[in-house]
Amino acid sequence: MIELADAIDRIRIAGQAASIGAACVTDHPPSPPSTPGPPVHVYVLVAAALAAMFAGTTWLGREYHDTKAARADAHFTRGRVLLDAGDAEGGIIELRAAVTLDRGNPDYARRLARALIAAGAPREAQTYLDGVLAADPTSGLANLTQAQVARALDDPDAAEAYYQRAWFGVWPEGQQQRALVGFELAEYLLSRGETTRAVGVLSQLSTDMPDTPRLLVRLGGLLLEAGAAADAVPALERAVERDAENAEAWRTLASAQFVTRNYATARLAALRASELAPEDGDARRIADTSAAVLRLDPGQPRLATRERLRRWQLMLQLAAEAYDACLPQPEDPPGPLRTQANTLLALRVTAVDEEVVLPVIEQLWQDRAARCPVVPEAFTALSLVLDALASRETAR
Amino acid sequence: MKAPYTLADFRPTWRLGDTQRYLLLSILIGIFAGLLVTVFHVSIDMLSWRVLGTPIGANPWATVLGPAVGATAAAWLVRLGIPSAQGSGITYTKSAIYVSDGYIPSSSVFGKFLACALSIGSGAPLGPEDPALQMGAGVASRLGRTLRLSRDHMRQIAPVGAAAGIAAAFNTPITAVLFVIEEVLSGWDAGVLGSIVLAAVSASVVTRTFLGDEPLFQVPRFTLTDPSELLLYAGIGLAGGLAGALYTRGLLTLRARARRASPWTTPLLPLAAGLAVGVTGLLLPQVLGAGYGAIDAALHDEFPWGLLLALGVAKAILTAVCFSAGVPGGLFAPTLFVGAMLGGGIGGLAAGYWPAPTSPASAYVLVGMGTFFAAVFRTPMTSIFMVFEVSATYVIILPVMVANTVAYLVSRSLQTQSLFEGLTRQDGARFPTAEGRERRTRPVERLMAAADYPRAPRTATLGDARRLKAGAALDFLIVDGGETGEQLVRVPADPAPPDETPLDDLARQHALEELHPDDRLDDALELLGDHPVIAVVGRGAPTRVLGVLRREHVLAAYGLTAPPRPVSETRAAT
Repeated sequence: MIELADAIDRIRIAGQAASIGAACVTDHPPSPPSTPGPPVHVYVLVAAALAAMFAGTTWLGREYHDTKAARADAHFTRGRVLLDAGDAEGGIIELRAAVTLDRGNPDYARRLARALIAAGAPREAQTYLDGVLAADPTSGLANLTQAQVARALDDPDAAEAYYQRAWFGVWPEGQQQRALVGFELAEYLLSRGETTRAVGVLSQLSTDMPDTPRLLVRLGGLLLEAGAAADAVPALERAVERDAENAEAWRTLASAQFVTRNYATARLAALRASELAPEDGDARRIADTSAAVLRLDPGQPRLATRERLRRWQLMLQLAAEAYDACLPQPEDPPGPLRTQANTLLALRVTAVDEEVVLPVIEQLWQDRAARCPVVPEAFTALSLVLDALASRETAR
Repeated sequence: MKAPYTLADFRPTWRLGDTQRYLLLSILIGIFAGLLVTVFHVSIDMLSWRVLGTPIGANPWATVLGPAVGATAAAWLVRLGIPSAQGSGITYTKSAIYVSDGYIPSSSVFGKFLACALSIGSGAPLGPEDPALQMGAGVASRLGRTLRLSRDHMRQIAPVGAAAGIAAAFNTPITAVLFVIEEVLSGWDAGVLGSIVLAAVSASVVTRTFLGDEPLFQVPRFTLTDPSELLLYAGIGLAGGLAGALYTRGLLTLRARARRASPWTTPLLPLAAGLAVGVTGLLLPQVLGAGYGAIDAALHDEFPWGLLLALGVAKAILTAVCFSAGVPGGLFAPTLFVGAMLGGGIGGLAAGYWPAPTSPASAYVLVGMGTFFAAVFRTPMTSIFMVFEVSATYVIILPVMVANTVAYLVSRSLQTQSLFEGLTRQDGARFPTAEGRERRTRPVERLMAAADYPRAPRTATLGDARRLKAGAALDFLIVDGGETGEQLVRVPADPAPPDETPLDDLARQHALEELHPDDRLDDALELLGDHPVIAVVGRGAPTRVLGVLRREHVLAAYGLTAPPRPVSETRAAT
């Protein structure tokens, strides 16, 4: 093996080193202590060599970058295809290859980060997003993805901060995407039980976002989820105005109206939703329940006296049934409350006194609720009517 | 009508002086080395894409056969065609500086380029940095010869090229300058420092022009979470030091055995090493090639700690095997790789057990990278700045300083010589090292003798001083007083100054050089060439002569003359 020693051997050591690091005489012609310098043509030759090397490197460098970009793009495309086909592992490998080849491309890094979040590797995702954000701190999409990473890492402060930045960040399609970020932020706040702040975000959104039915329905749905049904109704009404064939909009409107105890409107909206989407069980249920409430409620306007009294008696009847249904054993003989109910039920309709009936109904219902917290579906309408009566009483 | 000027009138202005040519050459070296290393880098990458595909390891056959074929071809190329391209580029460059007047044959540059591009591009687990260093030094040597530099400048030009090569390969000009000072020159040399900096900067500018100005690694943002983590970093330093010493010893042992192999076995070693790399690559494709992609992946928290440690161990073994078998390539990148994986592995392990919150994986990867480098190459300053430069992350500097210092000290206590020093010794050469110089150099204080000369006030005359000697010859005296305080003054013999000469005037003209007790004897040697005695004054009290350093004592200390009799005896005899 020819090694350094052999190389040195070929150098003829003719003098003894005077001190450490002193040079020895070698087999090449030794340079003189001082030289006059080369002729001009040597400089010209050096310059020509430099120019040639520069040109060559430029050409090679261009080829290199083109090849690199093409390979990165091919990996990126393959990665997306694999992810779309449900092969997360394969997709991530391809996307990683794309990012390694072209670290400066934010699209690659963002797509990889999203795939990693979905695959449950948020820490790795975060590292790629850091690079994207460092290059473009105002990128809405990068901030949004970073917020999702922070959520996955259970870092609520960071998540909220990134959501806010994403909301006010730069989006290619502007308001529409910004609204979606706002919705995601609201959903996140709702998931953490911060309903007031979620309603605040949604209220701000309602003034900023475009009036498309899809966005309005989502806004209404989230407001409804946040307990702000009254705020949801106008948005949903706008949605059905703009798209009368939108079953989801009608159903959500029905829900909102139902929650705000506008049962008549809720029923109509729910019926419309059922017409548009017959398979929608929720809409059907809202329509049925609303109809039942409307049939039972003695406080409905423009009712004849006899009809109102009949409804009081019907409510009493239902309350007594609910009371009995919840007893562990039938009362024999009936207790004082049940005896009082029976007495009132035996009266003619016209003899019913609502001032007397209502306390008995409420007492029966409370006794039942103490034993059976869950309201059976058959008594849902009664429960809703009692709530409505109590609410009206409070309002008075 | 006669023309006012002729072409001949301009000719002399084209002639540059030696110093001017040297400075021009430093920049030219940087540019040429930058271009060459750019092409080298591009060639390795393009070959790797072609042979191993992207991502590396995608094709099993290419993974097994690529490194074997590439390593064998490259090893045979240098064995049969260009022997000067074999071995470590750093030891070769040092031999050029210390043995052959800075002469590096151009064939070694091309040989190194071809062989290393072939081996690393086809998957050998070695790095392109120290080949780049040798190529830079070779370019410098070629240009120096072309521009007909003097012998003194030729000796200095190789480190200039070496710095350019490293700066271009790593895109790290500061690291390049420090590495050349710490490892190649083994000490500060003010005469060549400016040129080294010029060349390193030029090379970096050229590389960045073609390959972009991003740092070598894209490090995710992080902050250090808890001060107690410094203990963890010191632990990584300890582990890095131990591993570095073990790696150095293992590689040197393996290489010594490979050199003793029979002539029939030796040519087959690269093939065997390449096959070992390929088979390992089937399981751990990250070990193939220089491994920068894998370090980047580790920085992005892609690997669990178990895999990180496995990668570190596999890379260390394969690097030692390939380098010992004579596969062309450098040791920088593998060292970074092993350290990064070791640090990342320890960090990942600690994340589960450390009582306080820990930093992200990238912090430990970076720190580990520096510790192993410091332990193997024994260049602590380079290792600190290298981590800083390759990551462009300042926040890591404190943990890196702690960990690298620990690693350096541990490695130094376990292993007497650095890796390059060991390689050089195996090659039958002895070049100076910073550590060696430190061991050899003694302070002036050791040889300081009493300042046993007549003392006279500055206001007196030379006649007064002569009277103190009672007719004996007065060669030296200590003049005292005034703001200057005590000064050792030589009394010239020919022509001897008259008695009425004021001592103040004599001191102004003939005061001797001064040293301090902590100055090194090396520094004293040059001064002693002019005067047989030098005054030694305290740093805290420079107005007082503490003693003298005598030429004969210093020469005796270097073993150049018989030790003289002590001063007191000489005086008594006189």
